[in-house]
Amino acid sequence: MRTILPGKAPPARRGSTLTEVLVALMIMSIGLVSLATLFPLATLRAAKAVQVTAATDLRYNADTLLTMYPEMILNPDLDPLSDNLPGFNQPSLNWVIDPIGYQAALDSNKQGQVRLDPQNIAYADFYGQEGNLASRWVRRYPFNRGMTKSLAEDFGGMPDTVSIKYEKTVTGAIGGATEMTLPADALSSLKIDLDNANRPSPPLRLTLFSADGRTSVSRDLTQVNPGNNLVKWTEDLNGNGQLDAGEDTNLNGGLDQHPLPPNFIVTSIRLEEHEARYSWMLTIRRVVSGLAEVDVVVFFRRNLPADPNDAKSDERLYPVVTMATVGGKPTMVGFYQGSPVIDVQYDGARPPIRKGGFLFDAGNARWYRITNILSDNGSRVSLLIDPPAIISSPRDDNGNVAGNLVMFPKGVVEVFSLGTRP
Amino acid sequence: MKQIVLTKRRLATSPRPRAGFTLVEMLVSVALVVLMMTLFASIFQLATGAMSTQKGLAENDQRSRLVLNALRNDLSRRTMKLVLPFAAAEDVTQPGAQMSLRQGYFYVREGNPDDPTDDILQLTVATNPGEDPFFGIWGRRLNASGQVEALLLPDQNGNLGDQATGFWRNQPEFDDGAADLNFAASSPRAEVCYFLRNGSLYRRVLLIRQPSSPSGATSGQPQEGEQTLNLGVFQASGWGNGSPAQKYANFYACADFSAYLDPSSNLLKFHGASSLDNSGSWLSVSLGNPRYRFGHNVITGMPRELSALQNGSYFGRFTHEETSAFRYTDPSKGFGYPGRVTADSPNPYDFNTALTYNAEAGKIVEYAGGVRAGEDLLMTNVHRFDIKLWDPGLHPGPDLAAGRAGFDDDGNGVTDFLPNGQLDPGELGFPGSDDGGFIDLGHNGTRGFYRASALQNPAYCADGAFRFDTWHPQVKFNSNDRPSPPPFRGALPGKDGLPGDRGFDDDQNSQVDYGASGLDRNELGWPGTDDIPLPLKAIQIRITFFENSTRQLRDVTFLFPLQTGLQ
Repeated sequence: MRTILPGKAPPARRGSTLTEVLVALMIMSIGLVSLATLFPLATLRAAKAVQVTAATDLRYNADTLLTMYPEMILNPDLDPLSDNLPGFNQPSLNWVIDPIGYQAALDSNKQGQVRLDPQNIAYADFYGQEGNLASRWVRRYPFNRGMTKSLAEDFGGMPDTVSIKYEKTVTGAIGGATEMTLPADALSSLKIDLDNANRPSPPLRLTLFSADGRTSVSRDLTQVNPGNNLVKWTEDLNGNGQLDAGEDTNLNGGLDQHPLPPNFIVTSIRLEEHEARYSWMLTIRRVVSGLAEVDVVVFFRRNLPADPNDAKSDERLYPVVTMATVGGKPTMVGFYQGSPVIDVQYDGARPPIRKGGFLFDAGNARWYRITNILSDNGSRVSLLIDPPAIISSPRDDNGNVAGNLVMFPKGVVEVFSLGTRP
Repeated sequence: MKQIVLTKRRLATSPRPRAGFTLVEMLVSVALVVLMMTLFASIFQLATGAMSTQKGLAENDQRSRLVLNALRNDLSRRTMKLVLPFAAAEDVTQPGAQMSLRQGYFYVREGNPDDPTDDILQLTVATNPGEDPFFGIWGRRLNASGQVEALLLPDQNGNLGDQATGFWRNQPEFDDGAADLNFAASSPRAEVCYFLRNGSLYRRVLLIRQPSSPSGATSGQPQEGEQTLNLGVFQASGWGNGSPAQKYANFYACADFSAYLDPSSNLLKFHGASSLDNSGSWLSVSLGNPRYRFGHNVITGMPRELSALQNGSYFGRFTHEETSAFRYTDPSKGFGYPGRVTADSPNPYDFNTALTYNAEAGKIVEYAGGVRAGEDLLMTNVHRFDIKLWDPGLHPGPDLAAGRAGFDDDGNGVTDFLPNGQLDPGELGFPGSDDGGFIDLGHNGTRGFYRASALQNPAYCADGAFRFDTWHPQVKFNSNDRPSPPPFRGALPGKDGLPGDRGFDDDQNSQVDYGASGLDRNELGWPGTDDIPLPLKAIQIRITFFENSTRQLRDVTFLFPLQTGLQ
């Protein structure tokens, strides 16, 4: 019990000033902001986990294709005449199988013309460029030069990524249907190109949810008619019941209607756009005669080869100028076996180096992870790599270092080693 | 002086005035707090929304990993390493038959090629050395007192034995190597089946017996020559008296083993290692012969995947719930197979046995409520389980040439194209070419080895579904006295342009190279000839997961090579 002595006033109770309130608010803000920053961090981590999961799926799929097509190692140019030549069995020969990258590099001016460097070499045939020249260190094969862009994406990509463009409740029994009239607002918001047969680009897919909610059926749209909002998934685009030129989408030689399952009742629809977010590339190193090391590189939203004259081209190579004492005197060694540090020289803007990202040793066709950026003086950056250099940069006939080149491709999710293959 | 006195009096009589907020301060503070809280509420709303979406994505990812790992493990452990169907009466003594790589079976069911929910994958699997075996149960049944009782089989003298004198060792209870009664079972071999029903993906595992005792180790039977005595416990006469009698009324309620009802003895028999051998005669018991498999009718060999032969509802395979169903009040009724088939518990695989499929519940009404409901459930909220096969003859690939571009692969004098401009059919799908693609079995095309018109055994697909089956060379389907061909079999005629040995009736079907409708397709790919058999090279499975809380769909395309380790 509090006793107030007569003649003595209790201690005065003082209110907070505005300054105190503001300071308190500031402290609370700092706390809340710190808390809020955890959310995007967690989201980023979760997104990374999703990417790694998808990359792992794709790694296995690429492994399957490699098993199905051992020619990717034995005869990557698919030239029957080179089948029995020692060319692709030559130790220390390196190459990449890059269906999507090859197609993009070939058609990088978007006019279907082969892009040639000043020495008349196709950029597509080599992975990497030195200045405005195609680098000669790593050959690039598409696996099959006859591939169109869509075939290359089917072969070297993951078909499972879509983005939802439209969603609405639509009810009705449409079992057996091969076309559907969408709500009036479904197509108006889409940014799609249509060819002369009204085939959409990028490809669109319609997903229909069943009445019981336990199944959904997806159909790739073969025709989109914005005028009447009619979309079709049958191959019979002109409705004449016969297979006409350009209608055989799945190339089986027959006319496929792809009707919905009988008695299908739809309750809602989604219009989705295919996005080729993930793709793979194989790095192949013929270590000894008869055996090759294979890595699967999985990209997310790969920055595909574009204008080779662009200084920010993703396939630009930079010299590795690491110095080491060899034979008692300082020597430029490039990648130096066992060393976890490399020095990279650059002009102008720094290459897209990211801690945790990957770099590609073009001289040896090997991938390393960048674990730290040690220093950067504006023209030379020093990097810590993992694992330490497995093999030194190659040397020319005079013993001088050559092929001490490195690339920093963006969007590499993971590099998986498949071990050695015959 | 007066002032001082006054001050003292004030101090003595009243407290100092409070220095509280002014109205302006209050308003500014409140405004700031409101502003900040609104800001943070928006940020947190966005953040929690994103987190919720990410949670849905992660959930779908986790589900996808689980299913893909299960599929990958099972497919890599398949016993049919070379997925090449046997031709009818195929000469398995030829070295080219590669029988060591063709054990057990590999089965794919494609119902309606345009329906992604009615496919089935079923195969035999075997673990690799050093791997854990497949696990299941044996004898785990409750008696009338609610206690778990072991199901023990008597020895050849009819004695059950006891812990002191020792039990008869060759029985499923001891297959796991444990000496005690643990109700568990294990085996390095199994039949595995994947199917989708009503949005749920099931994976059923049936162990193929590997007795720990040397006796019967190959056949899997508990006791060589006297198994009929032991396995009568699943028939009414073997139940004994009293309330525990019902405990063995249903085989699958207490056993996870691959077994069949022997039509000649009308008693249950187990499958063992020898059941994977496909080189025996028509009379031998082999899982290559569809009639002996899970999900198939032992009399006709037809699988039952529909409630009725005509216009029936697809249900895939019977679930664990259904196969373990029996009535406590009348144990003679329910799912009796493979323990017994009687008028009260008719053969569920016989289309004459009426089945009612409740589409809303996703259950066979006659067998709903079994004690092992959900034990084979792999995943719920699966919207698609669609299997596609690699058809090497589907299309000429990116080079647009049949076989290897610029090569006369089949030696018929033309390179890639016939004089009329058509693709050379003898080259299309040639090994080493880029020909082919993934497509549904029984597709509507004019090319390919798995198109609907390439079906060789319509009787096996009489219910309207298409089936890829590695078969058995001596299967006599529908009581035919001649071995029947498998439903689909890919092969090219080789350089002589004719199936099998030129001018020789390889399969002894009274047709020399040519049949009524062209080439005798059953001879195509005959071992030891210049024909080129085209085993199934790869499989594609597309699965769609649905996450309920965020309504996200996750598609997964899974490719698997079926020629691992083979040239």
